[in-house]
Amino acid sequence: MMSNEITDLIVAYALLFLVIIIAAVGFGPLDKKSFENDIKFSDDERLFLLNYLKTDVGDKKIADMIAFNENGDANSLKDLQGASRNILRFYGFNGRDYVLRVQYPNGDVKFLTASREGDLPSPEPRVDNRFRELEKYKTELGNGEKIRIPSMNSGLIIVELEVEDE
Amino acid sequence: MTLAQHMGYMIGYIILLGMAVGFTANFISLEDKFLVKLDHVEDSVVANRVVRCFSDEKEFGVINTAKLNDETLERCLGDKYLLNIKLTRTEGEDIRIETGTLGQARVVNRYVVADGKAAKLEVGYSLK
Repeated sequence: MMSNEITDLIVAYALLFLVIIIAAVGFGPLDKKSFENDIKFSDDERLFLLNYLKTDVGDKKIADMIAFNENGDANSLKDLQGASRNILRFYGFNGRDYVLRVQYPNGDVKFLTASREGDLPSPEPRVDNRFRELEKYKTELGNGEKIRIPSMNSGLIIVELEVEDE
Repeated sequence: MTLAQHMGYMIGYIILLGMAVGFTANFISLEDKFLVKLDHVEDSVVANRVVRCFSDEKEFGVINTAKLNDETLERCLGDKYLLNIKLTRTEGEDIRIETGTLGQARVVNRYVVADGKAAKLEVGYSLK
């Protein structure tokens, strides 16, 4: 056997070994990795949003109060927050935590009510992480159920209800 | 020309091939399972049928209190279930309808509007 052929044979074995190692690493994860997702029926929340907007408060419906509040003052927001708080406390969601927010077409998010309002940020400035987290919870929309109503100006107003999973 | 002279290219090729095989194997090994709990489906169907049954025409969830009686309920849901319905209102008295004594009951709540005001429809049901 020529010396070149012996070198080739050694190299071929080395390459074969490399192929086996890489293939073993490549096929290693072939054990099925499965992710289980529960299908959630959120028709409770959807129906709540639909009927919440239709609820009369005094001589107005909640949907009207939300729409009028777009250009409103702090008092109209307070009325809306008070009415929403009463409705949600009455319904309760079986003791699950919830938060209700509204976003106007200009991107402005207004907090309406939550199950544990005592936990929400106080007006005094605080800079800890918990405060930042709560501030975000109050001023940004999350992944809850959403319903859209037309704005009096243009665009759509989004009302979002986020409820803790059962 | 020997194999040893192309060793670098061969190793590069094998590594690329191995990476491609690795990515493919990883991709096909992932699996999503979506679990549907039949109890939840049944809760949803029964509660929504009861809401539909007592709602005004084309106003799902706006309860017509005149419709709240055993006859309407039986017409809507047949005789498969024993039902215990309670409409709790913010203004006015609660209304109850019972079609029998429930066994192992499941209870589902829905937020509805009755006479324009907030109300809660509590649907308790069990199989006959």
